[in-house]
Amino acid sequence: MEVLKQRVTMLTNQEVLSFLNEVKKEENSKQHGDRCKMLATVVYETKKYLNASPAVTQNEAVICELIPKLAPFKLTGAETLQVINLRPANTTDVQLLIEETEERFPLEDELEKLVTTVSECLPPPPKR
Amino acid sequence: MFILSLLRDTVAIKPHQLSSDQQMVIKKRLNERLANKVVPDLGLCICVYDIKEIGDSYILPGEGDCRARVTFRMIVFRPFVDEVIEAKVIESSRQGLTLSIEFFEDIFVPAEKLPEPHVFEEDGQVWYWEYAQEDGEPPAKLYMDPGKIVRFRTTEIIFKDLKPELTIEQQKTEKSMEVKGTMASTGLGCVGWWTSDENEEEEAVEDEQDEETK
Repeated sequence: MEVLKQRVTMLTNQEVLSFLNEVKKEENSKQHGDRCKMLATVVYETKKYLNASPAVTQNEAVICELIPKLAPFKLTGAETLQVINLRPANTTDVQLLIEETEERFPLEDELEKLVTTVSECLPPPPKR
Repeated sequence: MFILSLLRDTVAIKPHQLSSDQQMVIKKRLNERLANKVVPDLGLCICVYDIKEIGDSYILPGEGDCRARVTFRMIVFRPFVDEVIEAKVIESSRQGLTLSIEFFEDIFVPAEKLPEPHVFEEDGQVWYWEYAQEDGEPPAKLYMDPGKIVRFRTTEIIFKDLKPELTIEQQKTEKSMEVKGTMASTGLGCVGWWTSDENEEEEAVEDEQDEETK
């Protein structure tokens, strides 16, 4: 087997979760002999992790709505991905995800605005 | 956390499968071979995302299998350096903490990367963060015991080519893919440490509302 391109793109946790839900449905509709055992294990475990993460309450629409609203904050692609995956709910969380926060966001207000934007667009994560 | 990778592999299709949907057969063969496996220097394969191209198939002399070169995309777990991930503590030892994200359990945070100052409690084999309080009270012991949900920052991903002739003992300790992380930064460590303020506020609001209704 050869790797043609290691990273074509990155996926958000929500995309992976909804894809795995489809895979699960497809597998369930098959006969027992046609199912793939290894796949069932990894799909179950990955879903278990993602179902406890903010991804479970998100859908494509809310993410598409959020991304243009994040443009004024000039986040990098990786940072945007992290913001979607972890849904920071306070400034401490945001500072963790954004590099050199103090230089890029000298005003605390800007950071709070970012937190409010994220909290408004993305639904709250499931309670543990 | 997850990436899409473009891969190419040769897939053999058995003669009796020729009548069924080729895409399905190929997907199944690829998933059987790769799902839940670590590809060196790539990551942990989760499942086939889609098939981009099925090349010309050919038959080798002396067998009935149809072989085709298939180009496909795969969902792969491969965190990037500096990525923050939430995980569960599953093991605690003097060397550090082992974390799990259900489908991947080879995440290690070495002792020196725990929040400073950290203390190891022999009794119970657990780590705690000695958090100095401002009001002169003795420092709080914030425990990181197994079962707690923590956040860590990825620092390194190590791939190791494992030889097939390993003893059972070695198979347990050797890892083909290991993620190393750190928890020594504001916001990292147990999730509860950083959200408690908010809860208290919520509780305070609830208390006020209770009083109003009275």
